[in-house]
Amino acid sequence: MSALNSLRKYVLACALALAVVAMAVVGLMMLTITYDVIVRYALAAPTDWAYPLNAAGLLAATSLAVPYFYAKGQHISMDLVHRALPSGLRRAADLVTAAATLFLGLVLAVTAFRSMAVAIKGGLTGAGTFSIPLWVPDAVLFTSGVLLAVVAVLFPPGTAEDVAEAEHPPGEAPSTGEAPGDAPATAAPSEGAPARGEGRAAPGTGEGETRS
Amino acid sequence: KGGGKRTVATYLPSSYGDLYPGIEMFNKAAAERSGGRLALDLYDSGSLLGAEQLLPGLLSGVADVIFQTSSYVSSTYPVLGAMELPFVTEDYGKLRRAIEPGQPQFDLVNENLARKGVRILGGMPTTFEYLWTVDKPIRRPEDVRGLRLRVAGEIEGETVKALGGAPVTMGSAEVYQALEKNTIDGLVSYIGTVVSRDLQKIVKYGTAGHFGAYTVDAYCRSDWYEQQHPAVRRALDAAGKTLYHEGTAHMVKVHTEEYLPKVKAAGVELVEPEGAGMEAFRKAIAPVHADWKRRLGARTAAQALESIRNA
Amino acid sequence: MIPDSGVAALAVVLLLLLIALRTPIFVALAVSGIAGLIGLDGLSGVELVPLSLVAQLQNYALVAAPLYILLGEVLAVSGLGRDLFGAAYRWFNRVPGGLGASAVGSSTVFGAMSGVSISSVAVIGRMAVPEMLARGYAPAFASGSVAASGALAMLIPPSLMFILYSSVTGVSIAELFAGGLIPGLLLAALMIVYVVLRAKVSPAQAPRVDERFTWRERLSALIKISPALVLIVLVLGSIYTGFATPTEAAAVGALAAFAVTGWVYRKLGWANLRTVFVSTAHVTASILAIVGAAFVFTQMLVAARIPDAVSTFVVGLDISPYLVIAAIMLVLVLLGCLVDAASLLLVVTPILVPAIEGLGFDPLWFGVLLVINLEMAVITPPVGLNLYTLKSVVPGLDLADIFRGILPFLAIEAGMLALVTAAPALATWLPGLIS
Ligand code: NA
Ligand code: NA
Repeated sequence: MSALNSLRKYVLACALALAVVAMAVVGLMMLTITYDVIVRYALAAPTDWAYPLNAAGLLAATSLAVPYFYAKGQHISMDLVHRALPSGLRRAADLVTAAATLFLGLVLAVTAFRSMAVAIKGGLTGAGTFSIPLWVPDAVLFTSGVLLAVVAVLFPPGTAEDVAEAEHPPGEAPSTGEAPGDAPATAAPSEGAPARGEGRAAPGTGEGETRS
Repeated sequence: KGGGKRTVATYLPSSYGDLYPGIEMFNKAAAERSGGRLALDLYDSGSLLGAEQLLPGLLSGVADVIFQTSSYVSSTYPVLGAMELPFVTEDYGKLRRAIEPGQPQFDLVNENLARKGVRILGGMPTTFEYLWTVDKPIRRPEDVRGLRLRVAGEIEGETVKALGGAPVTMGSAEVYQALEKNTIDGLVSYIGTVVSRDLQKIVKYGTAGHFGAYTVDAYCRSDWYEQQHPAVRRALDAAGKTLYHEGTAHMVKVHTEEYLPKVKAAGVELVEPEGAGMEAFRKAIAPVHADWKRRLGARTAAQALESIRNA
Repeated sequence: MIPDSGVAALAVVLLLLLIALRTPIFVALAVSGIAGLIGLDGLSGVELVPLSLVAQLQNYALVAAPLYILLGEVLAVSGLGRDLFGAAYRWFNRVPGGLGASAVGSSTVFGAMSGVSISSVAVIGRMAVPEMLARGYAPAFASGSVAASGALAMLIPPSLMFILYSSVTGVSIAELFAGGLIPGLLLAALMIVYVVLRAKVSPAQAPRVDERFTWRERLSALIKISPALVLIVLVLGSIYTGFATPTEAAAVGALAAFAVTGWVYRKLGWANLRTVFVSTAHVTASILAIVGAAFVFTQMLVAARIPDAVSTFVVGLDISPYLVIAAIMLVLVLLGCLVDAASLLLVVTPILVPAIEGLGFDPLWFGVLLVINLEMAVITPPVGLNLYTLKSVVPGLDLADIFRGILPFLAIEAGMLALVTAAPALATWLPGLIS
C-alpha cells in the first residue's frame, strides 16, 4: 500500500509539473500577444511567430493540465444517477470510468505517437514564414495521453475525494485553489476566496450535491 | 469505408465558385472513368479535415484523396514552390502549360513527391496574385515598406518581407474585418480570395503583377495509388487531367468574365507597373528565389525553373 | 452490418451511459466518439483522433478563451465582488428588494468582466446571499436572483460560450459579443424589475432595510470600483471600436488586470497569484478538454453524415421555419436540463447550424438564441452548474429552495427567448453597426 502511495505521489508530481507548464503557457500567451499588439501598432511590424506559437500554446495549455485535474477528481461530471446508486454499483460505475479513461489515454498515446511518426517521416511542417513542425503538437498529445492512462489506473474516481475528505473538515468541498503539493488551502484571505470557490465549482456538480 | 467508396476531403467550401467546380469535375470524371469501381465520398468545407490537417490526414489514411492549395504544403514540399515564386514567369499561359500532367514540371513534382510517399494526380494553377491595399496604391517596392499584408503561405510571406513589409498570418474569414479596422493594410492573394470574401468592397487598389500564384491539386498516397486496380488508376489519372484542363479553364473563365469585372465595378483601381517599375519589383524579390533554391537544392530548383521557362 | 446512422445512435447511447456513471464529460465524449469512429471505419477510424484534437485545440479563435478566464480570475482575487456588491447596495438600498437588485446589478457588471457564469455565481453569491439571508430575505428569493443573474456572464460579453460558438461556426467573435450585449442587458433589467416588483408585492420575501447611506459613502464606493470599471470599458470599447481584436483585448486586458490588482488594490501576493493561475489552468483545462473531446464526437457524427441528414430533413419540412426554431428551442431547453452548457453548445451547433442556414436564418442570431438557451440550461435542475456552485459557496442553502427560487427567472428567460426570436434585430442590430 505504501509503495502504491509513493508511486501515486510521484505520478501526481509529474502531472503537477505538466500542469505548471500549462499555467506558464497561459501567462506567456498573455505576454506575447500584448507584445505583438505593441509592435503592430507602434512600429507597424507585427511578429510572424505570435500567431502560430499561441495557437500551439492553446493545445499545450489544455492538454498538459488535463491529467493533473483528472487525478484530483476535478473535471466536470454529472453525479445525478451515480449518487442514487447503491454503493456496490457506485464502485462498478467508478471502475467503468477508470476503464474509459484508461482507454482514452491509450488511444491518445498510440494515435498521437503514430501521427508523430508520420509527421517526422514526412517532414511535415506548418505553413508560413514561421512554421512549427507538425510532430510538436502530436508529441504534446502523446505525453498527455500516456499520463492520462497512468492516472486513470492510479487515481480511480473517489481517490481524490478520500484524500480530500481526510484533509478538509466535513462538508467542505475540495478546492482547486489548493496549494500545489497537496497542502490544504490555507491561502484564503476573504478576498482570495471567491476565485477558489469558482475553481471548485467547475467540476463540482457532483461535489455540492453528494454532500447535500 | 468498404466497397468502392473512397474518402475525399478538402477545406474549400462550395462558395468558391472558381475552384469548387473543378473538384466536382474531378469526382465526376473519376467515377465515370472507373466503370463503377470508384465512388468518391466528398467532405468539403473542412468538415472532415481542416486546411492544416489535410496532408497529415492523407498520410494517416483518414482520406484517400485530398484537394489542397499549394501554399499550405509548399513549406513541407519545397518543389511545389516553383509554381508559387513571384515573377517566375510573367506569362500566365506559360505557367499554366508547365504543370500539365505529363509535362516535365508535373513529372518533376511527382518524382520529388514519390520519395515522400505522395502523388499529385492533377491540379489547377491559379491566376497571378496581386498586392491589394486599402489606403494607398503600391507603385514601387518602396511603397510596401512598413505595410502589414496578410499572407497565406511561406513564399508569399517572404515576398512581403523582401519588399520591406510585414507579413501577417490570419484565417481568410478574418481578413475583411482586419482591413476595415486597419489591423492590416492589405493582402497578397489571387482574385478568388478577394471576391469570395467580398474584399472588393474594402480594398481600393490592386497592384497587378506576378506576386505569386498557387496550385490547387488533387493528392493521393503513392502506395495507395499502386494498390488500386489498373482501371481505377487510369480513372484517377484521367480525373487529374480533367481537373487540370476543364477545372482550370472554368477558373480562368470565372476570373476574367466574372471576378475581374466585379472587382473593377466595385471601384478598385488596378495599378499596372511597367518597364522600370516592374523591374524594380523583380529585383526586390530576388532573395525569395534564392531562399527557395536553398531549401529545395540547386539542381532540382534549376530543373524546375527551366521546365517552366520552356513551357 | 449496422448502418452509419445506427452506429451514431449507439455512440450517443454510450455517451449518455458514461455521463450517467459520472465519467468526466470530456472522457465520455471522447470515448463514445472513438467507439463510433471504430464502428464506422474500423480501427483506421481512430487516426482521426489526434487530427481532430490538434485542429480544434490549435484553433486561433479559442486563444481568447484562457485569456478571458485569466482576466476574470485576476479581477476576482482583487476583491472586486465584494466592492461591486457594496457599491450597488449603497445605490439601491432605498428600493424594495434593494439587496436582490444589487445582487443582479453586480452580477451584470461582473458578467462584463468574466466570461464564465460559475465565476460570477461564486464571486457574487458568496457576498450577496449571506447578506440577504441575514436581513431576512427568503432563501429561495435570495438564491434564485444570484443563480440566475450569474448566468448573465455568458450572454454579456466577454463570453466563453460565444468564443466556443465562433470556433465551431466561424461567425466573428466581435460580432457575437456585440450581439449578446443588448439581450444580456435587457435580461438584467427584466430581472431587476422582477425582484423589485416581487419585493413590493410580498415584503415577506424581501423585508425593507432601513440602512441609510450618505452621498459621500455612495461616491466613495463607486470610486473604489472605478479602476476595474474603466478597465472593462476599455476592453469592450477597444473591441467595439475595432481598435483591437477580442483576442488582443483579452491579452492586454488580462495584463492590465494584473496591474490594477497589484498596484491599485494591492492584492497580488504569492498566494493570490497561485490561486489565479491554478484556477485559470483548472477552468481552461476542464472546458477546453470538453471542447476537444466534443470535436472528436462531432467529427464522428460528420463521418456518419448526421448533420447533412438533419439539415436535409429540417429544410425539407413543409412547415413554417419559425415553428422549426420553436421546436429546436424546446428541445434545447429539455436537453439543457440534462447536459452542461459547453457540451450542449459544442455538440448541437455543428448539427443544427447547417439546417439553420438552410432555412435562411442568420447564424449570428442563432448563436445569441443558443446562448440565451444556455442561460436556462445552467440553472435548470437536475443538471445546472450554477445551482450547485451556489450551494457549494453557501453550504447552508437548501437545494430545494434554490430550485424553487429560479422558477420565475426561467420564465423571464423563456420570455427573452421568444422576444429575440420575434425581433431578431435585438441580436443583430448592434453587430451590424460595428461591422
Ligand atoms: Na461575460
Ligand atoms: Na440544466
